[in-house]
Amino acid sequence: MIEQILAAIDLRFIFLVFVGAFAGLIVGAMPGLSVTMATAILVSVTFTWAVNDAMALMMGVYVVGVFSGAISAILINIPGAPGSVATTLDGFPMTMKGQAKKALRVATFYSFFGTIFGLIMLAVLAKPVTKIALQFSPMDYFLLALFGLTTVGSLTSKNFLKGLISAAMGVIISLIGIDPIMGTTRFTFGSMKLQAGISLIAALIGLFGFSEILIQIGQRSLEPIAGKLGKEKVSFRELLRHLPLSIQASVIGTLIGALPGTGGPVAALIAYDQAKKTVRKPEVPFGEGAVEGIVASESANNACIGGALIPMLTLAVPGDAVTAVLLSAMYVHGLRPGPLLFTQTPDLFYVILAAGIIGSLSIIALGIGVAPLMARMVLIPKKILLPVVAILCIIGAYAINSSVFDVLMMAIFGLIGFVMRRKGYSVAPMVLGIVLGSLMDANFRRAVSLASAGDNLIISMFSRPISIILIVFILISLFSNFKFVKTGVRKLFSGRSGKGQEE
Amino acid sequence: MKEKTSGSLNFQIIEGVFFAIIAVFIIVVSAGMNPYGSWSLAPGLFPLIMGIILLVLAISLIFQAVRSKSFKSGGFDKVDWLRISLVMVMTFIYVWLLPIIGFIAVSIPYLALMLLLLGEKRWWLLGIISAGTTLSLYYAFGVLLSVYLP
Repeated sequence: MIEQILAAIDLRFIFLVFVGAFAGLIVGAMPGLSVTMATAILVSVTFTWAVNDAMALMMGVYVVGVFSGAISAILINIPGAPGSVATTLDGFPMTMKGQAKKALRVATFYSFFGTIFGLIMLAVLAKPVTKIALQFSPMDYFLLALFGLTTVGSLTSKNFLKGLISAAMGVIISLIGIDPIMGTTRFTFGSMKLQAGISLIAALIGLFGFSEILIQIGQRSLEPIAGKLGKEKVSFRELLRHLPLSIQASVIGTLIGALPGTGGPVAALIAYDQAKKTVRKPEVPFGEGAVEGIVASESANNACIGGALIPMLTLAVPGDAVTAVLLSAMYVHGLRPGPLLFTQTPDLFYVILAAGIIGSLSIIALGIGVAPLMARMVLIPKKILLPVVAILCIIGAYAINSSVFDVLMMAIFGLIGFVMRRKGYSVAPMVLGIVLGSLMDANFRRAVSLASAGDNLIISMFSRPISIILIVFILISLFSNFKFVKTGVRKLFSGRSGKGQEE
Repeated sequence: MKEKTSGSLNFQIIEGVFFAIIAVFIIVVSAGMNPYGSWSLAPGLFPLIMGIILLVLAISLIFQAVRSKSFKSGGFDKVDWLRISLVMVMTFIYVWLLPIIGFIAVSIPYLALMLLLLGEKRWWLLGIISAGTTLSLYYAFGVLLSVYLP
């Protein structure tokens, strides 16, 4: 396999991946410019190119674009991509403490590691994982999304109930527009513009970006976000300390990436939630600048790349929006991804692996070389930075659909986010709800419809082994947030350790 | 980011009532979304369930506030409301004017006014930042990325 991968690489191939990587860095770091949009534009540019050249460029954008969402998440608390939502939780607090460079270094290294891990999994596990993913029923997809929502406990530092309300409101917001199954409109109140639903990107930029601007503007002092970037060196040994956590997050990322329709945000949030539960003594508490939070989030969302490519290459089923565009690019080039890919065009598999590996090396090069330069923006006084970020939010919301209505929605969500954050409602669960809502709605109704043909509705819906496993996970995730469970578990463990000591 | 305030208890009751009203509204509207008689694929099924869940959560929020004994005086603290209101009004005017007079013509004064509002008084810097940022973004999005800008 290594020989076949090396055979795909030459100087031109490396150059094209790197050009794509640089474009990915810019696109991913700019809120509103999505990697999906960039790859979609590239399909129209590269359709006359040789397939290897086109794949090199697009994989460069894809791999580095997913990583660079972390840059704006860390520096200005605006996720460059939905997959970086969890990175803001600890990345931005680190910036405010003057540890921006350290946060970027950690994000760079573990984005690289996550990508490589995902690609290795793609190479080794492509077929078995695809078999499991194929067995997921609509009910299982619904339960998986519900499991994603139960991670809100980790996203709300103070009040779990408020986190659940925020998530529920997010799900309800996602239901606005045309119903994906029956085609009827819901909660549009006669507005044509609401029929397309609420743009996720507009909501994301509003809830994170514009609300942050309003919060900062409301403060009397407009000093820079951070007084310093920090010269704290992160040794290689210190970076490697988080490797076990990164492997755990990368496994989650790869598996969730392989499930069509889920992708980076779900993977990163679940990995973050698991990190919070498994890391007993983080350097600082999660949500206040824990390096472990960045490790989990960035490893998972980058490992998703390899995971999302698994069903795309072996079944022609895209794992996320970018792989859907890559799939269309392959069809444009006359290729037929799917079960016959390995017999008809086996080289393509290795070309994609090679481009992914060079793309991940570009993460290291750009993350060390360019990201620290971008980090200097946090030293700019807020009275200059905030208006510039505001106009970035506006153009970012506009660019996705060339829609002024999306800008209006962004501003409204900015105001909602501002009020929510002032009143102790975390905005991240709302974003998660908006991401997962339509997936939950469509799959739940499909599951009910399928089960209604059986004798017993409940047994038909919940008796499958995958469903039972997911329900157990959901219950564990949900109850672990309740105080009495936490206290009980703590008492149980402290009692046991006490006994052990006595013995 | 760490939340600024957690919200005081008397406000929490108001928040609970607010979410309960939204939940009842969702339940009433979605209960009518069953055009084909069967609930299994009805467009209103999932919103109805979400409305009920939100209602339960809202009532729990009210109970949580009532059960807690310490009622603090609440509300927003030390916020420059005038500045926030002006930024919001400016943004809504921006959205209204964007399709009418175009991106460049609306963005330069928006940026200049916002800089002025936040205390930047050097006129040359106001001009450079507002015009420079607008034109750079216009070039990046409009020319390089082929995004249609009004």
